[in-house]
Amino acid sequence: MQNNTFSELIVGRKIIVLTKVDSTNNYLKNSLSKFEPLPHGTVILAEEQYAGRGQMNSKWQADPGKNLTFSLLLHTSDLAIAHQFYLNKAISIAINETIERIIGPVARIKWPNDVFAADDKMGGVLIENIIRGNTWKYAIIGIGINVNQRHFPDDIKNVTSISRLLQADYELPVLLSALCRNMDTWYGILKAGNLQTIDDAYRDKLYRFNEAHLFEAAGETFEGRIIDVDASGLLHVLTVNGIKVFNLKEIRFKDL
Amino acid sequence: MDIKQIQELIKFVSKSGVNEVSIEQENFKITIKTNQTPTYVTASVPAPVAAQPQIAQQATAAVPQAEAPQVSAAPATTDAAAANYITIKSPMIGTFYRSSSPDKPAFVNVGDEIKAGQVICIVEAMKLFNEIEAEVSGRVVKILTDNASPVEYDQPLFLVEPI
Repeated sequence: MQNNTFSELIVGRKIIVLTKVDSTNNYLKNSLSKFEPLPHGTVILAEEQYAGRGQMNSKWQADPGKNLTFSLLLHTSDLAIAHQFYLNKAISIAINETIERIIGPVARIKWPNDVFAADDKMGGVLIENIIRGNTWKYAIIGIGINVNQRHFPDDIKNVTSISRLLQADYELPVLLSALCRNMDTWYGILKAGNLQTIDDAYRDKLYRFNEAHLFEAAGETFEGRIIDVDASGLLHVLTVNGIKVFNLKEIRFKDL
Repeated sequence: MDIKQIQELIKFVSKSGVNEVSIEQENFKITIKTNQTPTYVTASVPAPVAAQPQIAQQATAAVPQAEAPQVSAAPATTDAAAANYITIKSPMIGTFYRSSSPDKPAFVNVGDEIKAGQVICIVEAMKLFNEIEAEVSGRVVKILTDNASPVEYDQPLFLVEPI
């Protein structure tokens, strides 16, 4: 275990590196229930997560040491629970900005928080919050980004990594440092209450925003355009029958 | 109900000035009578909590009439006990989960003693997983929402009897 810091920032002010852990989110959750809480902005970095969770097959496909998997702890008691989805937006934007600077404008945010490059998934985010009463005590933000893994199991489609696109490896510490800096900036924008700035930036980088595409909902396939993701995270799609609003499990992107 | 609770109940009844209290639960019935001189009780009857009919406990207060020396029982059905329970509500719209994943045991079950700060459920909204901690220590009296069902903001999730 070693400790490093990006001194002037809140995000990443304390970095704990573990060689092997079940999941960095679980590590943070356990630390909160047992000890004095780790400081606001602590990052837990794992070289290997053997039970990391992601949306894809509910297990994150990570070759040990090749990808960036970490969790960020934020003390969020000064934020409103009603603004939870804005934290998701802010983090998604920060990741997208970081990735875009490396791989170019193909970087996208797939609703609600997947890290995309063109039509391929490059990473994901898993946010877990601790709530007591009406207080949002902590947010634990797990992030996984495919960096130097070039080969993936055949049964996983639409997946890519930074090194696949660059045809060269990328330094994990450089990526982490840039991510911390950008997350620090966007968390600051959220804390300052600049929700419009967050809405605009999220929409601007949203995968398939305002493009005609096929979707599937309630067993039917239809064409529509994503026109908004509202404050609670619902997807607004303009169809021939007007604007329809969808929750996460109610709609599927076709051709993906 | 354990011995400790019964002792507390006896203490409560003797202090309260009523001379008989009956409590009936699913498999349990207890009547506590005191020998003290009946005192006039002005019972304020809280509105019944519609969502929890099973735990409605009947408190029967013997109310003597000022003129008549004989005790005439005027049963007043109250939810006095239920009113002492603490309701833990959903802090957001989402989906209610009783365990961290389908293959894991429930965080809490009816009858469990819980401590303030203990995680009692998850409310998931838009891939954000919210672990809800108990605000009080107590005993889970009732779980008011089914696993994996949608919940509204402020919807009651648990009834907890403080201890």
